[in-house]
Amino acid sequence: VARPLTPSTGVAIAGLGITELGRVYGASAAEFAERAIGLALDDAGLRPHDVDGLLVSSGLKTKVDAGVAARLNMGELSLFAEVNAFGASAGVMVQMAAHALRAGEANVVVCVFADAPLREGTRSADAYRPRAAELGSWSGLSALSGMDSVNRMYALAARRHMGYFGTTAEQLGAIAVAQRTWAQRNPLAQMNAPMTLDDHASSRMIADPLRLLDCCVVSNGAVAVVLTTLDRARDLPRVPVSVLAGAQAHPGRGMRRNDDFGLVTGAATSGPEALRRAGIALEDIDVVELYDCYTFTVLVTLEDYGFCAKGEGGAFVSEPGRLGPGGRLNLNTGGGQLSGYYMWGMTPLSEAVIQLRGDGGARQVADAELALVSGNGGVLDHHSTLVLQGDR
Amino acid sequence: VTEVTWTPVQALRPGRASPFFDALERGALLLSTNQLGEFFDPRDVVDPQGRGLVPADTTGGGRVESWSLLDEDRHADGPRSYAAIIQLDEGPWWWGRLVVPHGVEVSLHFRVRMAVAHAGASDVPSAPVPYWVPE
Repeated sequence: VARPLTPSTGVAIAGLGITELGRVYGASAAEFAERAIGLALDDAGLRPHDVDGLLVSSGLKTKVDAGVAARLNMGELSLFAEVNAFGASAGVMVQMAAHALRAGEANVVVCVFADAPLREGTRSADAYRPRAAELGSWSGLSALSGMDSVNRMYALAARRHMGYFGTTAEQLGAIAVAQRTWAQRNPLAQMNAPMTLDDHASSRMIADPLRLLDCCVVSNGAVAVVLTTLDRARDLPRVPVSVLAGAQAHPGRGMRRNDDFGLVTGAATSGPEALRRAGIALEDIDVVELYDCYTFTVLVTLEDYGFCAKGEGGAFVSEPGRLGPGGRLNLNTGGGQLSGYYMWGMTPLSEAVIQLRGDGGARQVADAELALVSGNGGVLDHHSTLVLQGDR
Repeated sequence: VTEVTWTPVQALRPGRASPFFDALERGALLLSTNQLGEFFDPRDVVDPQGRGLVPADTTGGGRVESWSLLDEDRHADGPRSYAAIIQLDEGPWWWGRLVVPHGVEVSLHFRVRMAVAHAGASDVPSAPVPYWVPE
């Protein structure tokens, strides 16, 4: 089984596989993962037996494990891990794959995320509904205190930003509207009906101050990417997307006096560090694909990456001509998770690959060469940043 | 502001949480402290330098760092409940329920104090639950 392993400095994404997404039923997360891997390998012009590294990630209530390698007859692997940095997992997996490829520890690494939280005949909100907690326990205390969902935690983060910086709900709405406009050009997007600021303001409250249209969609499906050395990728059928650099930050907040929860995230560390490692300046970036579980996540990440000063994100995103197709900042060009599809960190990563290959169709950004991709997990607890370059 | 409704659920009091809930019964919020007098969450085991922590009573007074109106009270005319982040006067944050009279506006750094309610149902033992009210 041993295959020659040769160290390489250049690493690239050579294949991308995206299954049907959204309210698609009849498959487990693992089955979606197998489909996505198959699609990604076909896209790369490779076979399962070429794969010697597999990194898998799945949603909160689903399970994807090494069984997918067996069912796809991958053979012996030199790298395998189940990765869970929540929404940062995709970026973390790509970084792990890049390290292994650069070290010569693997030749072809597949990274996959799959989830199947939606059940036929139920609402999206049911996918992550918390269970009743017990009295007299820490978890029960939390639930009884109103900390009843991730929505609530992000609501508290957003409200704190509003309290300190004057950010408004309407400014968050500008992000939702801009991304919906992009989504209308993306055939994979789950939500593509036109949206206005009034639609955003009148959508039902989910967790004050976050409304329905501040929140991401929920999706069944899977996305996989295939990584190999840049040299090898150049011999494969698709345009290679080079992984120039990546960085992570997991702030480990103490939740003590003057904590910066809701004001600053790990993106403030991982973003500049990834750009430094890549030798790229922020102003050189052509497309920005940010993790957007909520509109607020986009706003605070833009600040942390340095697109605007801290506290000025609201004014930045609501400035006419800034966001949306034809705007000065090509942000979440597939509609993101707010309007596109919710494949955790694979949503921004897949859109970056599409753009850097020039496959964006009606939403293609002209001459897109460099992309910045963020991941965000937990409640602003885990961050990853990737800097990617199309090798066209 | 005492008419708070709590969802009845099964009562349980695991060992490590017992001192905290015992303190609530006597109206104190039990945190933990190191030898320098710095306070930490009661679930913390050591401080960032690895120093051991011992339990210490506090009053639960503090200020609001963030708040989110709970759905159940959105249209109510009575007291309003919020999920809130409280920065306790001793330093640690507490994620707790804030209950204010109708018409009182909550804002950043709004001063609050702790109160204690009992949650439970007729067929399960009750347990003390801290919540916060305007100071």
